[in-house]
Amino acid sequence: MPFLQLRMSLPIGRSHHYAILFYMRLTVIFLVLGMLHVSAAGYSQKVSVSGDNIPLKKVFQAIEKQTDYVFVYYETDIDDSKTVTLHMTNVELTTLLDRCLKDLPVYYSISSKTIFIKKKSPQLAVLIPPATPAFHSDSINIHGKVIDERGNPVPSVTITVKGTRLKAITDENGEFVLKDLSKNSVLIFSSINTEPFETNVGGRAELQISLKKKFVTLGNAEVSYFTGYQTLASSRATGSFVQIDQNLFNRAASSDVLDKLKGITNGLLFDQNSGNSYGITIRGKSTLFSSTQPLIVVDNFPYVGDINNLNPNDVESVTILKDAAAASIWGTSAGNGVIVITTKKGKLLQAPKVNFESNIIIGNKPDLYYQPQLKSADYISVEQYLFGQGYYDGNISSEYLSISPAVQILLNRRNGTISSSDSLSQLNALSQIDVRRDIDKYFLRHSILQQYNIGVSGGGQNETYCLTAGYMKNLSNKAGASNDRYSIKANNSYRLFDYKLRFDADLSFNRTSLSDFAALGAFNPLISDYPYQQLADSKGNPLAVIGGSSGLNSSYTDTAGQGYLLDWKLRPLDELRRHYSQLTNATTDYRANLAATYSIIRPLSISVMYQYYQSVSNTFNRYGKNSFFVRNLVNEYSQIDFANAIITRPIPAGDILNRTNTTSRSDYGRVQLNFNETFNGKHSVAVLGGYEVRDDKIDSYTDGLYGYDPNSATSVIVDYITYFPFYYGYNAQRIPFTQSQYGLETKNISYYVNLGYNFQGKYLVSGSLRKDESNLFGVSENQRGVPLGHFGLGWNMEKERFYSIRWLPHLKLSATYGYNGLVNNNVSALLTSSPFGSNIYNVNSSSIVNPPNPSLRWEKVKNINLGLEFSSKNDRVSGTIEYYIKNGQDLIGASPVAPQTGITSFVGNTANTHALGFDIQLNSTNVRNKFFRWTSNLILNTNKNKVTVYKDQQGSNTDVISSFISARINYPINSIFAFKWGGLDAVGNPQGYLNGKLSEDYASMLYSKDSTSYMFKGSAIPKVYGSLRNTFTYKFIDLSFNIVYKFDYYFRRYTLNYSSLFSGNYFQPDFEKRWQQSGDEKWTNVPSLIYPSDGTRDLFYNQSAVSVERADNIRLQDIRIALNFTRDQIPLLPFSTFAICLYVNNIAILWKANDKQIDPDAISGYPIPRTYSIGLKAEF
Amino acid sequence: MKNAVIFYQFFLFACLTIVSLGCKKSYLDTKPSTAIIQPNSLQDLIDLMENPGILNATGALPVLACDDYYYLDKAGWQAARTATERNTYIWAKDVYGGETRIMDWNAPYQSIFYANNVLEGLQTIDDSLESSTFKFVKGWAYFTRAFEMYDLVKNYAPAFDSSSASTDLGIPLKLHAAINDVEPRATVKETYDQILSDLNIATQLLPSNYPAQHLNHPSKISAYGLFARIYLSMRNYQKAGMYADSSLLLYSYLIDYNSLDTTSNRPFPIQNPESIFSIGQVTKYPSTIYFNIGQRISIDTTLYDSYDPNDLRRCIFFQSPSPGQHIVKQGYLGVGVYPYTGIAVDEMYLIRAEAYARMGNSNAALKDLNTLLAARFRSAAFNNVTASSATEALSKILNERRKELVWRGIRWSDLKRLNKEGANISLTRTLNGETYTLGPNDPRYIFNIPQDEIVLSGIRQNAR
Repeated sequence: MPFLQLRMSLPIGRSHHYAILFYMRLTVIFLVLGMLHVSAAGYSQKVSVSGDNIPLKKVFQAIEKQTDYVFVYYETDIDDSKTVTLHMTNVELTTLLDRCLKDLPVYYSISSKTIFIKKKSPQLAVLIPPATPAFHSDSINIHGKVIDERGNPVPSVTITVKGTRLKAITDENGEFVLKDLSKNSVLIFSSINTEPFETNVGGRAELQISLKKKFVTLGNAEVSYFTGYQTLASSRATGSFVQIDQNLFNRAASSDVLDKLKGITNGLLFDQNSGNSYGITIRGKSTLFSSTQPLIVVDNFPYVGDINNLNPNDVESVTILKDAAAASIWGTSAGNGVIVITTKKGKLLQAPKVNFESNIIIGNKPDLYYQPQLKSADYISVEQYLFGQGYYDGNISSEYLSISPAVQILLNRRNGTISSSDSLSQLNALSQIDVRRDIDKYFLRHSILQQYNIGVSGGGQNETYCLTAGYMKNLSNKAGASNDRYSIKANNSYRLFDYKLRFDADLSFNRTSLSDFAALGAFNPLISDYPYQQLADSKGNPLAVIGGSSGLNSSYTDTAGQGYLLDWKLRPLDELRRHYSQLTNATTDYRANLAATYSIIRPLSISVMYQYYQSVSNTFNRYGKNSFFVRNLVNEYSQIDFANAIITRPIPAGDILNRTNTTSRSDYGRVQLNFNETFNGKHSVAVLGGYEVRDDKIDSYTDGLYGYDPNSATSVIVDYITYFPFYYGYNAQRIPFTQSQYGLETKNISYYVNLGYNFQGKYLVSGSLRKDESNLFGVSENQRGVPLGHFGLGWNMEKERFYSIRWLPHLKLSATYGYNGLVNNNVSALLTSSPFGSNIYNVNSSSIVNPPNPSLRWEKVKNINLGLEFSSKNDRVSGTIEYYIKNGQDLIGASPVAPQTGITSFVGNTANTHALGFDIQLNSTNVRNKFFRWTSNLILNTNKNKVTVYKDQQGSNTDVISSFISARINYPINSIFAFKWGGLDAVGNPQGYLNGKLSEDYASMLYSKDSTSYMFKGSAIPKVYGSLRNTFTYKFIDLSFNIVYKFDYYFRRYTLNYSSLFSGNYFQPDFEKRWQQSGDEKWTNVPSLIYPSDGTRDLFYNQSAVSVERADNIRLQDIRIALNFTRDQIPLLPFSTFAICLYVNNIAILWKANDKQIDPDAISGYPIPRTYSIGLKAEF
Repeated sequence: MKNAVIFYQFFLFACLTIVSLGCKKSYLDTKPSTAIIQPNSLQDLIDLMENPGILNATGALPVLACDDYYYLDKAGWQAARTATERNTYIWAKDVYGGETRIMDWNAPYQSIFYANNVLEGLQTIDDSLESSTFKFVKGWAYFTRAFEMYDLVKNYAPAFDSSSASTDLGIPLKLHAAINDVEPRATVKETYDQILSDLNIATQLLPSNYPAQHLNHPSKISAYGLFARIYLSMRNYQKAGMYADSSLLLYSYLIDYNSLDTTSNRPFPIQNPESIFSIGQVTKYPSTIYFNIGQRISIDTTLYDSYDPNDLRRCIFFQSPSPGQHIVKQGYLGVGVYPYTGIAVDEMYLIRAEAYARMGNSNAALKDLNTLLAARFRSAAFNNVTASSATEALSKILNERRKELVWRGIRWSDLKRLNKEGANISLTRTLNGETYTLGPNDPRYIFNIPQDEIVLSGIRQNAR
């Protein structure tokens, strides 16, 4: 990143630390000419500030630099938009303050080296309790401690006694001593990083004061990381953390929490091959078959349920824990890294603040033309060819098996019922139809997502509150589908018994519901039966379709039952328009988080935390009596006695209702002892140790009702035992029995201890140990637990005396080592089985799920992290560079075993993996002047991994190539292998290599172990990825765009498969490029069409090297424009701040390595459609 | 302040509760899922055996390869869903054409795996009471192992021949549940010894009453029946006849086909009173299933025509979806489309009859044959079969055997056995004028062992 300005620093005057900074093209100049006289007695310090439209904060900053005064103010009162023009040199502080606050709605008061800036309204006064009258005039000595809202000591807080010159400053441990005070003295607590606070001593000799941290970024304000167990100041942390603050988190418009982290989070990869439902991994994969999903923690506890149910507006900040030092406190849950989400809370001494936010996101329709498919005319020509080969004769010979409209025309011609010109014109008409037109018209729509949020927060002297409510409604791209979410959250915090006891309560309620059409029979609008399917006639009237390969022939359903049966046609459009069937789900989540922290004796405190979570989910699948689902089922089971004109219907012709109720409950309790002490002012020790108990339980049941009448809520009893003959064909089935239930319960007990030590803030040592025990099945008692931990070192180099790099005022090095664990609950050391209900003889039966494996162990991930953190003067350039090694050990893997064992794959501790990589983040302010600022944020992640040990034997070539995880020693965890490609032969057959020679023996290439037949193509997961975000701020306009990139990986594209084409899958690429005549082999790699198709020939071609492409791509992820207004700019504004935000997401691929028009993030399906959103945000 | 004290007390209480909870050792003994069982009771082991989907599956290759059916035309053959169906039909050297996960091999071994797990599970159960249930489950597991090993050996090894059995390659004998042990192929003799030994144990443990409601349960009746079937295939006719006799002594009910609905597609109930052990084929191949509609195949015309018009089997076993095409209806399993390969009373009559005939007792042989046929022909039209010699009786019995046990997977091992006897039966198929022939005792009577087994265990492949 080139810097557009020249910077230099010159020592001027007597004092070495005063400097003049010249910024080229800079219009604001702070002329700091030195402090003339320092006096504790009055305000006689002289200051100089000069510049046009300087933000007020900058003025305060300049004053703080020139004097030993500190400013204390509410962020809301002084924001960036308040500017002054000043040209004052060497004037009295008060003169300057008077001058610069003259036209602003604030006033100042100075109290012992602290300048309080307050709003000109008296509303805050009530929050400060009146001083209690003095009963005695005896003087006392006070010992006090200042902690932040998380209970961590706050050093460097200035405590002044109101009206006196007495003052004290807290030490590393947050403690202070004041002697000879009057019992009714009023203490004022102030520091740069905390909100101001006043209290009356009231005769107390011991004081514990909790101050709210003020995240005002003045210079190098420190970031705090919350791990779920403790808050760590970044200067005290040895581990690898990434913090996403609220501004950054709110940059993207989305209803999902995780979505908002995309492209802005160092070390977090979003990729479809991530191996978990969220599609995310932190620092790559370190496991083969266990879940790769990071642990997600909200406030103190792991989030139970779907994290996307959390209202993103409730999020204050997100911290990613990447290495052992950061994450090992989470033990066996930490192997994939941890995402800690902190929710919003109120602040002490804060007037009520109301936020309102609204967002509308509009998305394009998915591009149906993205996926290659056969043109209707081509597909008809294939059908014609197969018809000639007699391929359809089997279906034709039955009266009911389905045949396509084109085959019906061909059959009519063969039977002589139509002329050849009729057949030609009818086929021509079909080939003009493209089903995508109808799907796009009737089944897709622009998505619309609306979000509304409102919140109130504030706090008094002893309590804080934050109440939020949100509503989200989403109409997705799929016509007929919608979902919404209501969320309410209340966070309260009380400080009792002179701050000895702190009590926190966080209650939240979420209700999500979704509605969709349950089914369109067997018809899937996105996978229609034929490319020339017509869903509506020219007037838009619904037309019948066959409904997949299991559908019935249309000429059969025309006449079947001679009028006794229900209409047997499936008209998808009718089903959709008339809401014949409906799927609804409502999920209600309740969550109560309670915590109490009590200071027992000075360095020791105890916390007790408890979380209760309950989620009740109800799913109703209602198939209306008019739905095809019901009509079809009723007809299938119907029996007609034509002679007596009696129809018997074992399944009544009424609604069918399937209901599922799932209740999840989680109890999570924690008792933790905290010890914080500084010895001799040099040795700081912070120890926490605790004990956790967790119990997660899920109960679910499903039932089904036939002949359901929604008006009377009654249903009909059916016979589940008898095998009823189907109306057509020769099958007999029982009536589907949908009743089932299951229960899951996971219990854990954990013990943990975490130690932090530092010497003068320079040298940091950290360590932790944790043992998790669970009711993991089939493990003997002594194997239930696994101890995990870490050891870390850190060095704040800038605090060394010898450190003299002036342009780099912050430099920190750290190194950590440790183990995180991974749980795989799918395997067991002992034989396990699973019941599956009754067999045909109505007796309970069960299946083996897990063969015995007595040597099974837990998976572990060894982590080594080396970190470098730096920032240049004034944060012009800052960043982190981290190098890590992650070694998965005892990984549970599946490998093929000889079928004679009774199973075909074995799961056990079979593999070790090795991964290394860099996580680099660079932030730079390229231009910074009065009106304009340009900042860049670069994220660069690399991850190179390979399998180092794989104990089980390799299967045949096809096991290596086809399985996604091939686990070959010395190759990446997700490797793509492919058969070597020998081109097409003279008749269009694909050729490979067997034992080094060109071969067409596909079966041998596929099923032998001849490793010369295939080659390694590369990793399926990007080895290099990241993003570059640029932000431009001009006055109140904020423009930013994010470019994300993924490099060095491969994907296997879909290639033509004749077997699949013949069975009706018309989603085939390159059909036009197939070998058709001699000589074609010179220009094409697409094999010729042969009949009957050869499955191994298709498979060989599909898995050959010609199907593998480089996936590298760069995309413009999003652009965001925000307009931020404040009341100062527009006095009539009814809000204190008001912002409008325009955001476009999923914009375009700027560059990709493949030339096949394939988006590597959408190898199957469709690329995520572009969305446009507009958002409003107001605060008052 | 009062509230604060309450909160405080509440938290101390919560704290104590959590601590005391954690102290309970049993806290972690909770079962993590209702869907997971650690089978350690007799009932859990029974539940594993009560799994017809897994345990009651036998190979279908013998049906595909035998001469009971033909493809109507080459197009129909080409349109067959799997290469295995096409290749088996023309007795190609390579049966699977690159297809893997061959259920004909995997399913029986999966059943053996279940049986071995149950046998090992039983060892941990205190059986001092020697309860009848315990004995039954144990017998069931041994019976299963014998049944499935025999299903494998008849398909993947040469017919039993006492002169070469100790050198002919049989199958891997998996006698333990451990999945890390891979067994080489035992000889045919070792294989049959093991099967007979398992079956012997089973016979002693199994009850002798007929399991009318649970035809997936073996009993002494079916154990004797399996003995009879195996000894017959070993051409030990004396023992075959003896065991068939033992089986029939315990249970000999024959359905009078006159009582069945000949128009029904499902003439037999699930509780088929003639079946003594119900088991079906794997359903991987659309050509072998019942009602193989949509497949261009038909029952062999000569075979179909050999059923007398008064023979009820003609319309109870078959139906004709189009002129000249005859397909199989649902058979003795009485449910689903899985062809029946179990043991039924009719087979016992036929084995005993054959044994009598081979031992020269044509009267006894014909008596058994007529008992059976009387239940198969229209009552009014039935005349007793007669024979002038034991040889003629044998020939008639073998003829009826083919007609009675059609589509039950028995024809293939009969062909192997009869050709060993010198029957000199050649099979031919014709596709578009091209003729394929399978001569007597051709090595192609033995199927290839699936390639995934060969690659992963390195056992020896059959030379075809």
